[in-house]
Amino acid sequence: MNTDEIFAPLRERPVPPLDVDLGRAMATGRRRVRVRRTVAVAGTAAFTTLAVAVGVMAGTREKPAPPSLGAPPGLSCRVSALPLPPGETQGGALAVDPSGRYAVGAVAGSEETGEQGKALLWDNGRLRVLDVPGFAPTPLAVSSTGVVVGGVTRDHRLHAWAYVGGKVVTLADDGEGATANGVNGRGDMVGVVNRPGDISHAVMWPAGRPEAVHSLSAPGVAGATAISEAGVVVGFADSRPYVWDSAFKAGRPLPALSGGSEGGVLGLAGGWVVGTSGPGDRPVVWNLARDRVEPVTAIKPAAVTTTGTLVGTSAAAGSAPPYRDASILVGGKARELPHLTERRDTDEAAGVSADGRVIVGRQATGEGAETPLLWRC
Amino acid sequence: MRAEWEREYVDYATAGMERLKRLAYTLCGDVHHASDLVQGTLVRLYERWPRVRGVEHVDAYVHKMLLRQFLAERRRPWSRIRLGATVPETPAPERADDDRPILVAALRRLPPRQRAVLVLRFLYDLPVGEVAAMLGCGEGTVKSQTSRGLATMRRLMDADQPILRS
Repeated sequence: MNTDEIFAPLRERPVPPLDVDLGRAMATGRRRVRVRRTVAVAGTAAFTTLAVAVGVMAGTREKPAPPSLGAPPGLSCRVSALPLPPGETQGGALAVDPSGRYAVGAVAGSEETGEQGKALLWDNGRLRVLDVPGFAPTPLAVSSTGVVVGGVTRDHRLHAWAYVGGKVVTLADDGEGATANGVNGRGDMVGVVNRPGDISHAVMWPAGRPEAVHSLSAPGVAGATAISEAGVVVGFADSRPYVWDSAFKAGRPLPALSGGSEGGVLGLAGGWVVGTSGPGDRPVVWNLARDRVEPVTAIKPAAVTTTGTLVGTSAAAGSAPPYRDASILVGGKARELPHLTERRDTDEAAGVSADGRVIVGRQATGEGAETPLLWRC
Repeated sequence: MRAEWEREYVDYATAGMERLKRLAYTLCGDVHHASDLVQGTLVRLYERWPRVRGVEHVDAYVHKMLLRQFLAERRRPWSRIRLGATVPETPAPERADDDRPILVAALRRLPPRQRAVLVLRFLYDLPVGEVAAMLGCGEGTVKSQTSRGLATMRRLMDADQPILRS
């Protein structure tokens, strides 16, 4: 089979509608240019410019919002910014542990600037930069005992890593690349390994044994996204959202919305799973005990609590800033979480503790700053 | 930005939008991730337009911006959901002998850099040197990634076709 035969059918492949808006892009671009210009005319020497830049950025920020701003009635939340390493202006929080004590996030790596990126852990709000060698180290989950797992690119391949007992270890992957996506309080870690032939497998690294890779039983291409405190694993297999009641038993597909069985899973807590189902990646929540799937339309969910409360961002992007708001689904209705500043492009919630009292995420402003956020409710 | 430059930007972005969307979606195979890639590229292009408008190959420059953003592999919740999974297709009349689902699944199983090399070389018909420049690596690396990627594609398609077509 020659390359034309391989690739010709892809040239005519339809592209589904994407959430892209030129007006929004120009508005963001204009604000960034404006800030840079203000900074540039303020000083010529590099050190002067830097000093002024800090002053201008601080000056353009709104005062911290009062705690009640945007907070839904009956749900009192306070938002605060999590600290970033000195000199960094862009970072976000990606996950929080079930107890709410630990949060993880990253300063992004950039192939354009050569910035390697940083893996971040906050313990009750105190920052620690994890020493993960490689490009774009990204923590993806943290347990209630402070074990962090994630992925990093090193030597032209992906590696799964864990931060356990104060040390970063690379997880064995008996393949050509791996990422660790989930960890529970016992310390069991789950993720994806690409084996020769580039077939991905759902795997578990049992607690305390980073050298041992156990493959979960699954048809086709598979991966594990998260593991609950009870040891239930969720992910995908054969293009369908999948659940394994135990990493050592056969799994089963999660129920699908009508229209298509494909989809994926973002996370779980207790008996609740959040992800997507059907064509167009429709957001859904599954109730494992009832073996039911429900579409979620009011918000774009990212994480779920043990009582089924969802957090994420507003479902549709607005036409002017703020384009999206960090949101929580309360009583079937989307409520905005409080905002750090009035002037922002977007804020989003990415993770939530088991009881819903701690939520983490990030805020982005048009000026290019990105701030990790923590809400206490 | 001067009004006339801004008009140029709008004209360029409007004309090139579908191409950008196609490149982003082909690379990552995920509606949400592709949206972020295109939106982010349009913002950065606006910021740099006064410089970019004068370069010889604007398309190549813009595609490079999008590619580098893709390869930075910023993992957000909505971009990891489909790690390794196949791509949703919009409902469309499909030929009985449609190879696309098999192709898409095979392409999605390649590591990001190999996928980018194959997409640029064989869907965008770019020469090795240009692909190397866009990815910021040597021509030898592009050739070896091409060879490995193609071998994997062939192996996966050979493995999948009898099953999917039976």
